[in-house]
Amino acid sequence: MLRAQQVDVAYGPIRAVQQVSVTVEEGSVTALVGANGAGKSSLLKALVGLVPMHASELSFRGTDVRRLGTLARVRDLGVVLVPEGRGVFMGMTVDEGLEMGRRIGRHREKAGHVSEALDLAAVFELFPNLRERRRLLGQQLSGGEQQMLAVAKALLMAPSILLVDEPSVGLAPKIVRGIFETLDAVMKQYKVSILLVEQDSKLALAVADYAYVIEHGRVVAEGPAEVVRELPQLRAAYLGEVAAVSDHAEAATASTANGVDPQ
Amino acid sequence: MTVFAQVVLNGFVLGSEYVLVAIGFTLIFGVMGVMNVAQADFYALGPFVMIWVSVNAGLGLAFGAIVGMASGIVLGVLYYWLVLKRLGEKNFLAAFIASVGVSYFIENLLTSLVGSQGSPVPGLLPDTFHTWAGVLISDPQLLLLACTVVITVALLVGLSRTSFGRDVRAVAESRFLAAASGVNVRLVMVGSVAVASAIATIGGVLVSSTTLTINPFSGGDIVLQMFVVAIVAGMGSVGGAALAGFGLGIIESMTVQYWGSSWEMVSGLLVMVVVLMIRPQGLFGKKVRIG
Repeated sequence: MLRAQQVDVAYGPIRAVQQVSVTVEEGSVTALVGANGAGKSSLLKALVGLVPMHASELSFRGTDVRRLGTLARVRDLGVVLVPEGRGVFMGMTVDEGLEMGRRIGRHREKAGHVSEALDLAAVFELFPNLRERRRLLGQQLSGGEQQMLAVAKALLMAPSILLVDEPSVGLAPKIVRGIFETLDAVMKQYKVSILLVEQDSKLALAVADYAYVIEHGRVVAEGPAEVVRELPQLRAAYLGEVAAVSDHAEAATASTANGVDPQ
Repeated sequence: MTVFAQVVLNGFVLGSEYVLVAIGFTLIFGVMGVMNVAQADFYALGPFVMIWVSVNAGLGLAFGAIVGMASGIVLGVLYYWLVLKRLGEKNFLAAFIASVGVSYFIENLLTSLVGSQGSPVPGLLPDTFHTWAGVLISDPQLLLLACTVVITVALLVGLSRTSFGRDVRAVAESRFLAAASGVNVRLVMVGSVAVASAIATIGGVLVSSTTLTINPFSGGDIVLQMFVVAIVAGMGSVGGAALAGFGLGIIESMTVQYWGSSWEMVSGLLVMVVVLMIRPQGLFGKKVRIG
């Protein structure tokens, strides 16, 4: 449903993403794994049009979307980003945040892009915690609740594809599992595809159907998740096996120090 | 006591002027991150538009006043498309410098059109004075005060209760997150600039109706106060700017009465320095501003 070919993203002279090609099949979970600063987040932002990109192809269900702005991609096509670091407005109440999402969902229902969008009741069903905190500000929520709010808001926008950026960062494993289970359930019920960026490769590869390994802005490996899981360089770098770890760690640190890390 | 009450009241009247330029200034800063110096010159343009429409074109005072007040909407939209959109969305410093340029441009354009002397402004209301317990206030001053309070409250309610206001707050907190949430960021920006400019032109019309004169530099004369008010309040805080605007008016009015008129400017700057020493983010500012 989403095809991006030879994507380049540059911040001035810094090339965050180079010639990356990614395809997300309808109804699937596709994962982008790789070290911090590898350009995964930049790619997601570029896909919703939040940072400029060059690509030989960027199509959504067969339509070229390269010339569309963020608003059109979000509202008309349902390409919805759940940003990294809790995409929540700190100065807004839970209700206000959810209403922002619901507004897009209603628009998509009316325009006939989706037959039925999630409503507030359905979201509170999925995230009962949020119901009790409706009047609290984003900044008064715990990290887990903020991530739930970000996901809930995105779901209310009636997405066709969710671009989820590092949902596990800084959260307890139990909460992360909860969020992944919710995403999985929603995906099946509402036929949402997911493009997941996740540093925790183990976690990502457990839920993904297909995966790309990205290093220094390039795709270095791809394949069905169960195949990628067994790749030696991935096992070495990210799944805790010793060989070559120092090498990768160094590269990651160096790029952060140079300000390459686009987050 | 009567003198003191009169000084305070004069301070409120003077402060209204500062409030009406500063809340728009701080709104644009909150939404776009741009310090828009030209805000004060829109304040001067409003009365001139009113004079041209009502006196020069002879279309009547009421119609002229409405056009003068509403001219800010058109000016704001134009200003956004011509200047801020091209510079302000990415480069705050360039937009700031450009706004200084626009400010000079407006002042010199007006000077070449009407000369640098003050032009007489037809008052919106007859200059009737009322006395309450020895304190004097005129009808135009009452109108100015009432409108300032109404406009400030309307802006605050609009920001907190309407969906457009929610979008404005979203963009102010994070343009990136707002865009990702399906907010029409550009519409929010142009809308905010239009509202801010309209508040400035309304302010100009109302204030000049109390002073009955306007000159091309009336806006430039209060740029400093506009900065002081917005900075003391905390950049981006509309409610804070309203309080600080009245506060500065009262302080200046007292300084003139009890210290000497040459100290008028000094007192405001002194207050700013003291406030910033204690609270660098301003009285109502957030510690960290993102975006």
